[in-house]
Amino acid sequence: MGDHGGLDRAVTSQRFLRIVAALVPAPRRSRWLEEWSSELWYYRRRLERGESRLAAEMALWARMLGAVPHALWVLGEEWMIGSVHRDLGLAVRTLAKRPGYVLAAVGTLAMGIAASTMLFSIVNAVMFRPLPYPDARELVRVFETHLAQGIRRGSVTGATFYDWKASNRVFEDLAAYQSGWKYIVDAGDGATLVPGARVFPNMFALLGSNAALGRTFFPQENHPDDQQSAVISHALWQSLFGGTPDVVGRSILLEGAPRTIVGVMPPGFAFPDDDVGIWIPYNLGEAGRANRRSHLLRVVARLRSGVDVPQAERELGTIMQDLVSQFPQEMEGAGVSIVSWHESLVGDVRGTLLLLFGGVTTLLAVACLNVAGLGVARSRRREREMAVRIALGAGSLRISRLLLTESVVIAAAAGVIGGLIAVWGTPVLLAYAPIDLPRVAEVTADTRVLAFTVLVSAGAALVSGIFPALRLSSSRIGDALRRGSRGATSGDRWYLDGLVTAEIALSVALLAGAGLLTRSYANLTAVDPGFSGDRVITISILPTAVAYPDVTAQTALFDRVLERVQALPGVTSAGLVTELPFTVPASTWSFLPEGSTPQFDQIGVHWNPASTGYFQTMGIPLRRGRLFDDRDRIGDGRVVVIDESTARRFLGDRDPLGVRIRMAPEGELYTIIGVVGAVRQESLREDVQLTMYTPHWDTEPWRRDKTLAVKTDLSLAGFAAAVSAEVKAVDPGLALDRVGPLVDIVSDSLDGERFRLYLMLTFAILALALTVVGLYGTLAYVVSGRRRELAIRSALGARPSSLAAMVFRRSTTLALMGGAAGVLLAIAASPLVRALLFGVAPVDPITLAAVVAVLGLAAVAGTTLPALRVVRLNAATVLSEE
Amino acid sequence: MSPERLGQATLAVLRVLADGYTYGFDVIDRTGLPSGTVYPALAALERRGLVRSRWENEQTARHDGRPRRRYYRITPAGRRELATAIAWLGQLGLAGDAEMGTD
Repeated sequence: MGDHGGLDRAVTSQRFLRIVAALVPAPRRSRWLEEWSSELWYYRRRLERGESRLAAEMALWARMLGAVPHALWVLGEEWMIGSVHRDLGLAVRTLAKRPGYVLAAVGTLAMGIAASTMLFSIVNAVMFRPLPYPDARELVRVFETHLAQGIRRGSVTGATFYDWKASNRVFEDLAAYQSGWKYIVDAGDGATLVPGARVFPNMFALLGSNAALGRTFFPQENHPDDQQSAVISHALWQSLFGGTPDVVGRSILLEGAPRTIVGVMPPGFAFPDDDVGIWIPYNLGEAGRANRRSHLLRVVARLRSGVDVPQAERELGTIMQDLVSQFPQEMEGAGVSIVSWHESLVGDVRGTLLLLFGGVTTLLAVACLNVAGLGVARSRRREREMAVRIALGAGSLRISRLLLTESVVIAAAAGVIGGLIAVWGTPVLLAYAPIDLPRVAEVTADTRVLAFTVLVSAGAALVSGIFPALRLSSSRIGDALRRGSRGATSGDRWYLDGLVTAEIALSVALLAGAGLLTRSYANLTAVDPGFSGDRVITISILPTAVAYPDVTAQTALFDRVLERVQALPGVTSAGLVTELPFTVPASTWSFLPEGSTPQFDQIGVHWNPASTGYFQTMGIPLRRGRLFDDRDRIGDGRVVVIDESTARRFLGDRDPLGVRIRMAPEGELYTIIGVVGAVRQESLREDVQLTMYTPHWDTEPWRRDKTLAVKTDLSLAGFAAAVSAEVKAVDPGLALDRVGPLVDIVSDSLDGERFRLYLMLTFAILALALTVVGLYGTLAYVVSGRRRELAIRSALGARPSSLAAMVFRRSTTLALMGGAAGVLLAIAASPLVRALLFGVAPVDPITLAAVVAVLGLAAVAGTTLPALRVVRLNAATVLSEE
Repeated sequence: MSPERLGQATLAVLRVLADGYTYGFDVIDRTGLPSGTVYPALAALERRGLVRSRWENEQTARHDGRPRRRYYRITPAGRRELATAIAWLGQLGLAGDAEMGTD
């Protein structure tokens, strides 16, 4: 038995070695096998003398498995030193004889590689590039939530902030900031508007960022040396101060008040947004620290090491619950949400980027499949060449390698061209990118992008080369010589059909995505914003607090501005508003009809002080009552105009005119004198905003910025400049911003939508075009392969139309299979688009039907030529070729 | 050829051959290195002329009823290279490493 078992094992290991030996290139195979079998023979003999049976068996197998890496090494070595040069040379020479094929293949792949590299470099900068702070992973945003009112990422009150700071154990430190506005900065040569942020003095310490020049703020609150200080960005230092090193210590005017620059941040530092150029210290006074009503602060924190986001959220949630039970009046319904800083920056665009990246990857896949199809068809034409090579002694592995080398050459060329296009094209693409894409300033081709391009090219080489290589099994080649150049084999057809079906499926999915975005965009543009921007220009006017400290001074200024502008020739009407639609995130107040009890979870109403002319200029209709007039200035009673959605929401069927309301529980009483049309304040996507308007003279001193809207019957070109000059004539020290036609503001608000729509459409159209070419290619190939058969049929009396019908049947089958798979794919991928859609479901029958129709047209386009070829087939000519 | 071009594994293989061991599996056993490392190393050494391999006479083997074996021998150039490498490693205080696997 023992001897017999030994023999069995010997046979088994011999079989194993033979299988592994298949990896070893033929010239070295027999010696390799001989050495391994011989060594194993001796090894076994030695083992049988000493070890136990099981131990011997295991040792033997352990040793035998070493044959695999050795065989792979020999294979790799042979490939590397033996023939890479020869193969490369041969591949290049062969390809040079087929410039058309090379052009098509390289062009197709280069397009796919360029598009995906461009997208990846954006994704890379926005999503993957580390943030410019040390240990940025520990940085989080902390939000107050009021889920009942739909507030998921709310700002925080001063009191809550200090409660968190005092009682949490999960944060190393917390700091708050405010940002999103522009400061009027005067460095001695006129006012400039600079995006700025007010940050708690410990903010820079919390971020771990130091100044490149000078210092940041002292982390203690109300530090005597930081009362009037400012830190500026590297970019502002360059643009406003020409990069002079003595900028530290210089005095500037900020909003009309003197400040000293104490530091310049290094290039690449940004907080909280890319464009912030100046930071000033933010200290809450006693009142601010105790305030539980005004949600003014945005909060950043650094997690203690070892603490993760859910843990911090749990602990802070408990603290928040305690606070709510302590202060039910002010904090009813408040909760906490924590997200990483990175997430808070990119969370909104992740969906868009994922979708676009998915789209571009699909396009790349279609491109690869297309080139693979070209390759299969081409390898078929080269069967004779290959058969001769085999007859002369080339192994099938050698042949496959030759073909793969050719695709590597093609993919490498495509990679270089595509990479270069991407490097040049990315800035162009970004010029069309929505401005609110975070961190795009950091988009450059770095090593990660380079690695991506190389990887994608290698993948393209593999995908496009593997199918032709697989098709050339030696057994098949054997037939080739015998068969001559006659019929295409059914195997080829399976491959080609598979490739084209996959192409169709991917294109259909891509088309469906683009179709959904198209419908969504159409829905958005059809939305009535509630105002008309026709022939209207707007100018934001930003007076400083120093020159215009109170409402009286501000009102006097704006009255004079209105007066002068209305006197300009060509002005039909002019008005002022505090928050122009689509420009400023709306803040909200309470709407409390007299005698009603305040509800805590009540939805807020936007308070937007505006002049009477604003409604006329913007085409916002007066539904009931009247607008403001000068009588309202002298009377004691305060007046308010509300929009129809507010009236409906709070007063129902009650006549709103004459109703008196408050904006805060202990606030002034306002009498409703009119009702106007509703307006979409934030964007076309958002619902109409509940709004109440007071006259522009009834406002709060800190809301001194106003936007002037002017309607004209003159041409808009030059008109905005004329109006600006008139405003400047009132006070040359006024800063003006966002001067231009109102329609641009509406159109700009759709930038993001357009960006992804155009990109997806481009991807889809390119993929469809490639697919049509692929379909044409495979049908043409099949037709040419069956010429003899078709010729015989037609010689036997088959009508040309029936032959063409055969071609169409085939194409219909492919289109149906691919289309069905594509629709399924589109449905499976629909969660990717869900969040980006407006007024259309992610699985939309109309879109899918339209896509199928487009596919049908494309299929007809791809089929007509091959079908015509069949019809024109001359039986006599074809048969005489033999 | 500079000594640093000889990797540690290659050096170990050379060292074992210098001690008089001749078969691939012996080298594997003596160095403790996997076969996937030893055979490439042997091939590389042979290509550089530091090692020469021979196949046993087929008739002799057949006469004894066993398969013939391939045996490897270090060449004089190999011995010189090994000495240089060990001296060089000695300067770095690493000579022990070159003895690795030779018991």
